[in-house]
Formats: sequence, structure tokens, C-alpha cells
Amino acid sequence: MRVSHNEVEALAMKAARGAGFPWGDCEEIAAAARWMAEQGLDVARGLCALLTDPNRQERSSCPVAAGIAWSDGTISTSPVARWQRLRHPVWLVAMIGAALRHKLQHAEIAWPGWRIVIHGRGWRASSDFGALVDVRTASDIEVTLRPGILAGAGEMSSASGGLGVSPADWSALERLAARTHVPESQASRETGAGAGTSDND
Amino acid sequence: MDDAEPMTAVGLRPPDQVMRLARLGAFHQTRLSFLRVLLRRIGRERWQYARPVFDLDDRGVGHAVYTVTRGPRSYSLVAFAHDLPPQMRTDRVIAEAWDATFALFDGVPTTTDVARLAANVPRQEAGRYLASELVLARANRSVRLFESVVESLAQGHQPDERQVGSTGYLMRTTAVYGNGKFGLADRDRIAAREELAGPFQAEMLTVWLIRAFTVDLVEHLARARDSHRAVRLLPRLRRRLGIGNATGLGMAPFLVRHPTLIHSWIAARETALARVRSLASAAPETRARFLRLLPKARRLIADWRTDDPVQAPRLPILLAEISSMERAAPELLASRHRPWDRLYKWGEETLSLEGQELLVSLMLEPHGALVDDLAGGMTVDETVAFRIDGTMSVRQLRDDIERHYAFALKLDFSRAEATRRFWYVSEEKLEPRLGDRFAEPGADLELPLAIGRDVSALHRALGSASPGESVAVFLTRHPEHRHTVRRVQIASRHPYAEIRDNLIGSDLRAVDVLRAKLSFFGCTRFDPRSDKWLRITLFQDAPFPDEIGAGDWDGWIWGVAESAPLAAPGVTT
Repeated sequence: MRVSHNEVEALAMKAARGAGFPWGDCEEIAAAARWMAEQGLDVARGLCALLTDPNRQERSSCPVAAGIAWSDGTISTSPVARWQRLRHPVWLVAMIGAALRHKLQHAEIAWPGWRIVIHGRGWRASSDFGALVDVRTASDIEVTLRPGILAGAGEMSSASGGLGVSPADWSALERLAARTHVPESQASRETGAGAGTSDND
Repeated sequence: MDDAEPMTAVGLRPPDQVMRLARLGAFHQTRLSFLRVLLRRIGRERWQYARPVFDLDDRGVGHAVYTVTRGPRSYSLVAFAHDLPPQMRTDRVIAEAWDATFALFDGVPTTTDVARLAANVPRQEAGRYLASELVLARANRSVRLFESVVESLAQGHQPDERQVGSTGYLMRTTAVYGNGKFGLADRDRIAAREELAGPFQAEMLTVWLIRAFTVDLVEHLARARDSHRAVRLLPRLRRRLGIGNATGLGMAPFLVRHPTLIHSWIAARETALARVRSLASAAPETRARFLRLLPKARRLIADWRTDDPVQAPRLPILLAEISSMERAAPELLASRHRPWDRLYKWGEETLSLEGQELLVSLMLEPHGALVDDLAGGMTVDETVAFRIDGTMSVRQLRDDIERHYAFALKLDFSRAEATRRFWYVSEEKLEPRLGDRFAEPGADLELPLAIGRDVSALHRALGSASPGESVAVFLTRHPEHRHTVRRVQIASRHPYAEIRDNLIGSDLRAVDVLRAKLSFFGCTRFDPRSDKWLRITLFQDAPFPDEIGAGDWDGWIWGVAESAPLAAPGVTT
């Protein structure tokens, strides 16, 4: 099925919340998910992997926590950041990409077997970039920030007509998002949206 | 403030004055409102209009296509008219069938496109859409007016003018969706197009074309009923028909979730006011135009009907205040030093909030050349302000909270009444709702809209951190405060970003939030139907697409008296 980038961002936010992330992290995940969609990455599969990972609360190997730490501090303090092991490294890449969206900077992200250079609106990878979504763990990750955007990098497909995703993945995310919904009660039906006066006149 | 204008001698009104719910809930449309910006453009640029398809049967069931063209681009409203049993008609978002459903198509649809839309648009949220569709909408008939207009026209006479004017519309839209919902085009697709770059321009265009459809539909039904006797609506009466809208809580979180956007709207309006107040003198012609507006404003307010216990008593006061303006303005505006500022200050000392904010709208009105450019600044890229500055110190963040969130720090959130409401999304319709924290389940699933309470909690947590610590380090210990830190940093740079009131108190009137947003859309005649939803009117007295090339596309909202065409409208079939 085909979904819009806005749908990706909105569902990522709710599904992340349904999976137990704090609201501020959910906002970061949503922004990173939109960046992924803009690059044409299969963000629905990436979200399912991240959000259904039984170890998702383990902060030390969490790519979201890593991306946040990088985005919050590193850009203006230290040019090189390292992690021993991270799960779902595509999320570190995407969070860095989203953080660089309005920066005239690019980042080189490397671990054994992979070397990816990204800026806010594009990327260049040593391996098949699309396969990045399926990388489960990465070790000895190094991120180097450099000035300037990247000439000749793959451009994001922003003006495209959205993104194709697997209906099964999308439904799985909707089920996660549904955990944030409050079941309707008779009381809420009567008062929650302020009905009561006739509206058929 | 980063939007400060060095040329402006009178400063902007402070956010603590503007961003209160009581004042936001008294806002009126201005010439910067989105539907007015759209119609000024259409009139000025003389867009082309056509109705290539109008295929409705005698019961009014079928479809029609309305196309406007500007340069190389066309936009088409594809309208589907249905035969809805009365018992299925409800304005609430829980409805599953409507009198008419619509999509705004990017270009001119082929028959294949129309067939695909016919299989989806009538199902609204249950359908799926492509990036070639910009907006999805639906509308229900006004039971009060629709049938009586059809019957009058079928019998060969015009409907009762008073009834037409007081209801003000044949149909009400009950939802207008854009920006990627259900697979529609992302805003990115149109953001760079000059004609749709402003906020909600595609949505406003859709609603304006829907209005034209509602009139064509009653004329069609009248002809079907009696093709010999049926007449068309007089242009003057036709103008009196806008489009209604029912708006509920679904819209309220938008204002809270888009702080930089809201800042840009309010800052544009406040900058416009400051420019006018700063004028050294009032030109005689401008002064005269302002004074001529006052009786029109009175007529507009006199047409405004509501039974709401809060809004209804405000209206006679507002009418009396317009009379006060008529008495006071000639002398104040003759002043030799900043006459518009004198008038504004007089209003602040004399008028209710409704009256003050109406005065703001009226003062902007004759100053198009001075303020209209500000409409171009009402769009922002929200991703620019998104990133948290983790290098900020805890001390700085605390200072910013104390500077910009004094309203929150003053509230006592240990009182049950201060936190009685909670915002949530209902499972049944996936729409935002307001619940009672102490009487209903679901508070653990609360949406992050309790800004005042959360900022107050963040302020406390910062108090036990070392002042020199960085926000990044603080957040590694307190990820639960991350969304609030982001807001504080945004609000510190965008002073009109935040509603400076408690959004979860037992005394919250959610309709105040809705009205603020709807006033920016350009809606009139706010009619709260409870404290959680309201009806409004759009495009009443506006020109129709078949009038492009003539008439007044700027000041129409203040009444038809001077701008209605006298001749019959061009035949569009």
C-alpha cells in the first residue's frame, strides 16, 4: 500500500508511544521516520523492528537514545562520536539525518561492512542503502561530523507520491498505536465531544 | 523578538496579553485571514473557472467537477451528491454517510480518476487516496434552509431573504482533511506553489468551490421539480449564502501541537496592528473608509445568532460598543499624533475583549497596502525549530521558563480542579476528546497537551539539578521531560507560540481554542453549541467563481451592499 510522508510521521509518533517510549523520544522517532520515508527507505519495516524489539527499553544499545545524545550535544561540541554496540542502526542514521536537515554539515557513519555519508537531504552508502533497514545490530560505530553538504549524494524523493509499505507492517504499527487510544464509554460518548444538542437542523 | 520591526514605533502587544484564552476566544477574522487572502489572489490574478461536468439526476444524485485554472495549473473540485435518509444525517465526526462528499484534485481529472474517486470519496476516512488529491471533505444539508429554498425556486419565486441571511448557508462541511491524511498529497507537494503556499489555501479553495456546488444543487433540484416554473436564485440572495461548518475538539490540539506555526499567525496579526498604531497620522480617505465600515460591522453582528449562554450575552454588548466606536472614532482619528494608536488605546480602556478584538479587525481593514504583505509570513517550516539545544544550561532553561511561563508557575496543580480535564484519543473514532480525570478511565493515556502542568513539573525537576549542568545531560536522567524542554526552547524564541492558560482546568472552554483558529481561517458567526464544539459560517457574501473578473474581492466580508453585482450571474452549464 502507498502512504503519505505525513501518515508515516503521525503513525510513527503514536506507535512509538504505544511501544512505551517517552513523548519526547516519540517526537524524535517520528522526525527520523519522516527522514527515512523521504529517502525511500522502508520505514514501516524499520519501525516494526525497532518498536517490537523485546530489548527496546535497554538504553545503552538503543539507537534512539544514541541519536538523541548525538543530536543534543555532539553537533557543537565534539566532531567524533563512538558506540560499542547499537541495535537497528538505521535509526541512528535517520536521527542524524533529521538533525542535519537544516545544517550545512554532513556526517560519516561507519562500522565494519558499512560506510554511510549523509546530510539533511541526501545520502551515499558503501552497501545497498535499502538493506540498512534490516541490519539488526552494529558494533564499533563511529560518527564523524564534517562541514559542508555533500556534492553528488543521493537526493531525497520528497516530491514523490508517498511511499510503498507492506500492509502487514502498517497494520502491526496501527496495533501499537491503538494502545494509546481510550475505549469509548457511554459517559465519554455523551460528554467527551460535547454532543447533546441536536445537530440535524 | 526576532520578528521585531525597527520601523515600528508602537511595539507589539505582549504575549501575556494576547495569548490568553479569553482574548483568543474573542478573535474575529481580519484581512489576513486565510480565505480572504485566497479570494484577494483569485480576484487579482483573475483565475479561470469552468464546470466541465454536472451530471446529477432528478433526485440530485450524481457527480460534478468544478475547475479553476491559474497559469499552467488547474485544481478541480470533484463533488459527489448522495441521497441521504434524514435519520443518518449528523454533523458529528462519528457519522458514516453524508449528503455530499468532495475531493480537490490536483489538475483536471480523467474519467478514470473520477471512477477511482467515486469508489473512495463517498466513504471518506474509509477510502484511500493518492498524491493527486489535495483535500478530502464532506457536507450535510441545512434542514432549516435547503428544502425551503428548493421549494421556493421550483415554484418560481425567490426564497425569503431574511431566512436566507439568518441561516447563511445551504450546507455545512463537517470535515475538511488535507496534508497527507488517508494517502492525500503531503503538504510538501504544494508548499512551493505560490498560490497554495499560504496556510490552508487548498482547504479554503475546496470549501469555496463546495459553496458554489451547493447553490448549483438547489437550482438543479428546483428545475427537476418543475422545469417550467423554476427560477434561479437572484445574485443578491445567492451572495448571502456562505457555507456552514461544524467544528469540534479534533481541531483543538492542532493549535497546541504547532507552536511555531501559531506564533507566525499571531505575530503577523500583531505586527499588522502595530504598523497601523504606529502611523503618524490618519489620511482622510482611510479615516472615511474606517467610519463607513462601522455600520456594516453592526449589520454583520446583528445577523450573528447563537443560544450559547456565554456568547449570546456578548452580542448586544458588542453592538452597543460599535455605537461607541461611531461616537468616539471621528474625534480620536482627527488627532495629530498617532490617531490609530489613540483609537486602539481608547478601545482597550473602554471595550470588552470582543469589542477590542473587533476593533483590531476594523483598524486593519482600510490598511491593506500597509499590512497585506504580512500574509506571506504565516507559513513556517516547523522542522527548523525542532532540534533541542542540549548545550543550554539548566540555569538558562529555568530562567526561560520563569520568563515565558509565569502563568504556569502561578497555577497550583495540586488542586483537583486545575487538572480535572485530560485530552485523549478515542478508540471509536480516533478523534481527540476531553475527559474527566477523576471520573473516567484513560488518564494514563493522556495526550501531551497539558503544557502548563508539564512545564511546572519540569521547572521543579530542574530545581534539583545543578544549574551549570547541560540540558543534554539533564535529559539523559529525565527523558520524560524531553517534549516539554523542546516546547520551552521553542516558546523562548517564538513568544506567541504558547497559549498562556491552563488547558486541563475544569473551567477550560475548548471553544475558545477553536475560535482562535477559526478566526484565522476567516470564519464568522461563531455559534458554540456546547463548550466543546461550535458552528460557524465561511464565505458568506463572498463572490462566486463565475464572478471572477468583476466585483469586490477584498472587502466583501463586511457585507454585500456595495459590492453585489446587479446583473444575473453568467450561465455556467
